[in-house]
Amino acid sequence: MFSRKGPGGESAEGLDGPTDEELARRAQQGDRGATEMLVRRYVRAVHAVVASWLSEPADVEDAAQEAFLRALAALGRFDAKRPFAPWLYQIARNVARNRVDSRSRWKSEELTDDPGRESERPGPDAELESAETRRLVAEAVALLPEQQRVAFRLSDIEGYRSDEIAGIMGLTPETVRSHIHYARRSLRASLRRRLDGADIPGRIHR
Amino acid sequence: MKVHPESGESPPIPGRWLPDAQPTESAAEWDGTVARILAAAEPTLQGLDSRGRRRAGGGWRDIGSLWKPAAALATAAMALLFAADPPEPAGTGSTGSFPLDLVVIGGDPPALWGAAGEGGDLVLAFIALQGTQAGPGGNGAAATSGAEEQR
Repeated sequence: MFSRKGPGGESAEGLDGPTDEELARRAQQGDRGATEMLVRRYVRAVHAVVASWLSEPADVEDAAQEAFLRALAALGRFDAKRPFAPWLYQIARNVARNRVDSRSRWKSEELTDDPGRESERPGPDAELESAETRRLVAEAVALLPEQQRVAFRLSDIEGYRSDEIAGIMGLTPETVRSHIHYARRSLRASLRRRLDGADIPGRIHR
Repeated sequence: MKVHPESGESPPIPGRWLPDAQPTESAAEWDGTVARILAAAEPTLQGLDSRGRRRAGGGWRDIGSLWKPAAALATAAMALLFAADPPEPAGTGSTGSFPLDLVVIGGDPPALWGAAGEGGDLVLAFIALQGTQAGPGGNGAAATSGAEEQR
């Protein structure tokens, strides 16, 4: 089971280490070691999940910390018979979404005050091309539907396996693979339009 | 079309175009983050500690810890029993316990109230006052005005 080892496929206690739910039960009883193990086990995954909504590293850090604080505050109400990872995922997702909602309200006001923002984009200088491409990809990723975006982020950026992602998101591995597939397809289509003829893998394979 | 083993169909987007990945779980970069999270969660964790202690000491210890409130409750109940006047048998003529039935059936309210004195039943007092205000042939209006004056 995914939850035994944690999302990174690593566990401080190896394959025979405690499951998430076992750690959660112990953490509920005030076991600091279990709490720390849970946080350590999911610190990367939670950062990756909130990074699916937030781009600034400081925002990601803040949101991940807030997600853990909320989870630990609610741990007393967590039903340890249920899987821990999707529960934590929902908390992280809600924290990130709330931040995006408040940020987008603020951003929309900012954008109306700054009509010349488009001119700040880097020009066609070759050395900026890679950074520009990364920016375009990040923008295209941000436009993906939520589950595709998270699955894509965890898979293609963070390198989680689809069964691990399934454990985090509370989905089946097949559904995760489907989300990843559609995310990649959408991204290629989107980038094709944006990069206007750039060499995009997927097109050349067809 | 090239099939990617993980996705089942689509080849991945080149890594050089994607944002940087987070460090792996075992990376030392996370140590500070974990420490910060745990430090920020300290008040919450203290709450879990005390809850855990309560749970760990369950069973007989829980029952043992309840003896104080249980004893206090029992004492309060006994005190209430003693503080309250015990019901007196009807017809003894003592104050505060005239059955209303007795008055309604055939008793003379003013006389009963007179017998009961200041500590008499409030209902009896009101009835007696009505009788006094209205007189033998009195009506409701007189009784009402009498009651209002009394207020």
